[in-house]
Amino acid sequence: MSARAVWKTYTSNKKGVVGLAILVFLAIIAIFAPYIAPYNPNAIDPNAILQPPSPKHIFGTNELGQDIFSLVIWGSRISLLVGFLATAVAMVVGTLVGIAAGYTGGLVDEALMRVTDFFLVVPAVVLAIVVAAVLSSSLLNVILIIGLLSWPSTARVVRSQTLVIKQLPFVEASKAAGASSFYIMRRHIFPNVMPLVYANTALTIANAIFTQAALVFLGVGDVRDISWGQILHFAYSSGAITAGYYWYAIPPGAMIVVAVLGFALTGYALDEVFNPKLKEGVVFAST
Amino acid sequence: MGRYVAKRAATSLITFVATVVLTFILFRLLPGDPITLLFRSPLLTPSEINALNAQFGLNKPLYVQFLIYIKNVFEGNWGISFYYRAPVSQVLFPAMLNSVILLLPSTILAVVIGVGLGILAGWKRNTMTDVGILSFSLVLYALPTFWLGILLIMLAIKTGIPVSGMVSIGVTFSNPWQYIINVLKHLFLPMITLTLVTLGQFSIIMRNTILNELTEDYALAAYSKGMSDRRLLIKHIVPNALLPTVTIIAISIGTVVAGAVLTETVFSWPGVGTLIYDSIARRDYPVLQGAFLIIALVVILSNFVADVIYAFLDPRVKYS
Amino acid sequence: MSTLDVYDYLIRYNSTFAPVVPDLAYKWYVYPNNSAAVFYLVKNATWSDGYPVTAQDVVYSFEVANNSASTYEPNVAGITSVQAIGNYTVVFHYKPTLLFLAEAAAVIPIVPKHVWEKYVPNPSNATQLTNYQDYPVVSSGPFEVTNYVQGQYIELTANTHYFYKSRIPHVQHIIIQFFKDTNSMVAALEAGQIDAAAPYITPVQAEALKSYPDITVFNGPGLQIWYIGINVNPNGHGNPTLRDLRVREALAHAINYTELTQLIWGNFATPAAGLIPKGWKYYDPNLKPYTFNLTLANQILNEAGYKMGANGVRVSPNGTPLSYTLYVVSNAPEEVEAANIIANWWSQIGVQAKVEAVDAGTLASIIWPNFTQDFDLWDWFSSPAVPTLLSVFLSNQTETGTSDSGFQNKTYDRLYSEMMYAPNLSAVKEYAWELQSILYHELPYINLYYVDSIEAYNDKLFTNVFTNMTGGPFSDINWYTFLQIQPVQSTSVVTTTQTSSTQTSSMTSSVSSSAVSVQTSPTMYIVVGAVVVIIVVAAIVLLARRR
Repeated sequence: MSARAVWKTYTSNKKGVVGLAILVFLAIIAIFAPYIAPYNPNAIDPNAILQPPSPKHIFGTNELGQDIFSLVIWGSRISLLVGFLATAVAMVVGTLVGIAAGYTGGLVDEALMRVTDFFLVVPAVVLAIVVAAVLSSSLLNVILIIGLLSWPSTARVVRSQTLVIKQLPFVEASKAAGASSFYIMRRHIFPNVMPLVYANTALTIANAIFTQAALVFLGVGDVRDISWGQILHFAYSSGAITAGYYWYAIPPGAMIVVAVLGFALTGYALDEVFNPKLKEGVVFAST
Repeated sequence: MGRYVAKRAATSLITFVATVVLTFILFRLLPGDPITLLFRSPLLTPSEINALNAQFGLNKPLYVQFLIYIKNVFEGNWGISFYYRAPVSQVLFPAMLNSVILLLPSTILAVVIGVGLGILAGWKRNTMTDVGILSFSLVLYALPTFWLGILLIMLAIKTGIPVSGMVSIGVTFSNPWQYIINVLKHLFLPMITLTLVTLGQFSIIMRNTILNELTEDYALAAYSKGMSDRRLLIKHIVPNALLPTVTIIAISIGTVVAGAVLTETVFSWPGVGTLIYDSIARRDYPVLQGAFLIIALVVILSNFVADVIYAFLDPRVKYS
Repeated sequence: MSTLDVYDYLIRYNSTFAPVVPDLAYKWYVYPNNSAAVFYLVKNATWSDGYPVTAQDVVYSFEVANNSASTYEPNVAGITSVQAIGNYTVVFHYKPTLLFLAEAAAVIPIVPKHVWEKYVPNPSNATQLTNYQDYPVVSSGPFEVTNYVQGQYIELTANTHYFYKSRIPHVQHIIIQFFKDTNSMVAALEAGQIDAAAPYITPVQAEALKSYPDITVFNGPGLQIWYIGINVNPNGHGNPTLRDLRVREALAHAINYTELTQLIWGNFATPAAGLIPKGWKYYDPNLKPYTFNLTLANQILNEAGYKMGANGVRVSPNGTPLSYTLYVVSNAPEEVEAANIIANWWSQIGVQAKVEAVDAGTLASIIWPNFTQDFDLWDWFSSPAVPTLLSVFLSNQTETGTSDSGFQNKTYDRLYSEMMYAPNLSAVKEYAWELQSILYHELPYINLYYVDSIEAYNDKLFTNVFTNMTGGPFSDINWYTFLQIQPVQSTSVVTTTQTSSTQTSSMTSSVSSSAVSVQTSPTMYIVVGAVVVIIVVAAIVLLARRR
């Protein structure tokens, strides 16, 4: 499908439009954070501890006197960044593995799929905690860990699609003409697999954002940089929850919901655009 | 059919083996060793440390440890927990039971409600009902589990509904029914959390599957023959759409033993999730290995069962 | 407090940590040369299985304490012999020290030989000791352990046959429940499911609890100090610039202790100066926290030749940048915040500190044995009765996994051993003060704050909570509370709950409310019924549709 056609179909899809609007909104917040946030998020104010929402602090303040609205705005950067980069890792690895496994078949396929299965069998959050304990808690490592969790489902999807494409006549023709495997994978398989990958990408980003928040909330991974999960982590561990300081907990969580929703809607819409028959949904472990 | 089952069985076995190996490697990579953590006595002499290492089998070269590990796995000897000093099975199985108590009802409820809503949305496609259900499901899907848990805790604190643990401690129950009621009270919030978070997915998938089925040729044919929407749905679409759902249900049941780390942690539910989480901090390898292996076994088994059931119900699958 | 009230000791501490209270020993005598002591035991103390408590039990207990896998080993290391004379007299010989009573006699719990020797026939065998499961518990103290589930709770029942009649408890049962985090514990306290919560409630929660009319929030001098450990190990692999005292001084002056304490702990902590916290026996009130003076800090670094680099980070004369990693334990989220704030201050004097939160196990493996860290932000819990916290800085503690600074100072080592064998208690104090002074000036640690014990309990249901002791009513060292506590109404079950964390130190106890039968509300019936109905109906429907 040409880009114009894609765009036309996409914009006629209500879900897609809403999703895209949310993404644009998030992008603006993240990029223009320094201008939107009224306070320096790191600025502590011992005189304004745990204040409820007021004209001065729209979302109130936390136990260090920091403005929660500014924290949430700035938190979008890391939350989204990790989501994107981790997904990039997952996409690259997943696509390569999926195409290689699907096209080559045989023992290579078996071996790759068994390894993939390991990641799908083991509870995702648990695996992340263990790996995070092995590596240090830097941002890069968190990105790698989440990428590590996400590539298997991409690989599976890519592999199925590769298996389908592989059977198509023009691939047969190419093989008959003497094209090398690499050439076929690059020229024929890859472009036809990619549309499926786009939809999968959006959903993977949604899952990555969620996983990053979950990991940081548990105290695993990067608790220094401001992210929505990090704000919730301190909201919980400082005891603000049981003390009833609701304004501390609601905004960051709501932002996660909005972000995940945005990417999920976009993902489902893309799915419908490229695959009008809607073969299968994607299930993530979010327990 | 037999060939298919055999093939799937072989695949499952290989996956299990891969899991066994990778699990061992994974935990040995954790920095810090349990001896230092457990025995923070400053004056443990090197010979004592050696003795303790020998006792826990930690001083042998890695490949020897691995072979011992394999041998133990097959003998069903799960080892002794470093932290609890009790057999791993004694530690693991009660925790798994607790997880099942939480997860099974939640999953079943999520499936029932989710599938029901999905069917409804598919039937009333493109109406307000559909949009409503879809939006609701999407929002539920997007809800972070731990956030929902936190919010429910904040709401529930004033009402006296228990927000942590599985049963009130130190209370004497004069009959088993009272004990059950008490557990149910504690189950209330975590179960709601888990159910809500899971049902969104089922609803969306079911809806999509139904829509997908509606585009199939047989549906078109039935339409053109004048079959009513409702009859088409009940007699043909839904049963066909349930096929992939059966697979998903079977898989979800399988993951029930995996516990739900996020929900259990927030509600302090003493299940497998919290056990694993704590054991990581304590570097309690035997418990971690045991837990991973059991979870892998159950999940692989349930996947296998799901595939076989699916092949049984839908003969097309075997030939793909 | 659970061990304290379950087992007996030769003698006990009073509320100011003087080891003067009789327990199993009704009379004792320390020889003038401070290297021998004799204890006369009561004849009517019994174990919970009926056997009498004898001198043989005492001897056995001290032998087990001397086991290298025992955490009590340092306390008894100086004992050269322990002997029973007859069944009710015990004689100790030890290297001359004044602190025998405080360090050993009041600290080592007396365990039943006839039960333990089945599992640990050889008290000095470390692996045998680690095998012992210790349940069912056979004890002789004012409370017995009647039930426990590992990691969940311990149930104590009053020992009505206790030999010390005036110490028989006024409550029948106490349940100590372990919580994973303070949120659940405080929620349970607020809901009336437990009666007390300790020792760690966050300042936020403490403030919120003050508005509950039934609940009293106690805070007083505590048992904990937070500090930044600096890698000064001459054989270490951290950033070598930290071995320069002037760098450490500059860093110490670049922290606003008052503001930090206020931010992180509110009114529940005191800015720290010396190593030994306020409220402890050997606290030195003459040491004051380093002044917060960025100008001074900058000046020190300038004069020492650490020039400011282009990116705002100073560089040493031989090219090493003042760029460090600041490790902090991840299970203390408020300290992670503290680390961030400190890093921010340090950036204003040209020092770059990257904060990394790691769990305790990982941090331990980073520090020992190779000392690859620069800083570790960590804490100590210790006994206020003795100066042994100072032993952390002995040179030989570097290999044992106790000294996280790698401090090596011969003068310090010498003074410490002299302290242990000082001729009288005021000399001990002088030594303790001098040792702290060395630490204060040499800065292997930058001490941050002494954290109060913050505990909360329901004062409408119970009275006679013993609050007049450092560490608070429910600490590990306060044996009075559980003996004196009394219900206001005539209910007999007291449940207490504790928080456990992965640190061995933070045991909390909460006293929970009296026994009630669980109320069955109609809502639960409806919900259960609805769930069952839904499942049954759904199953029927789905099955029927199956062709």
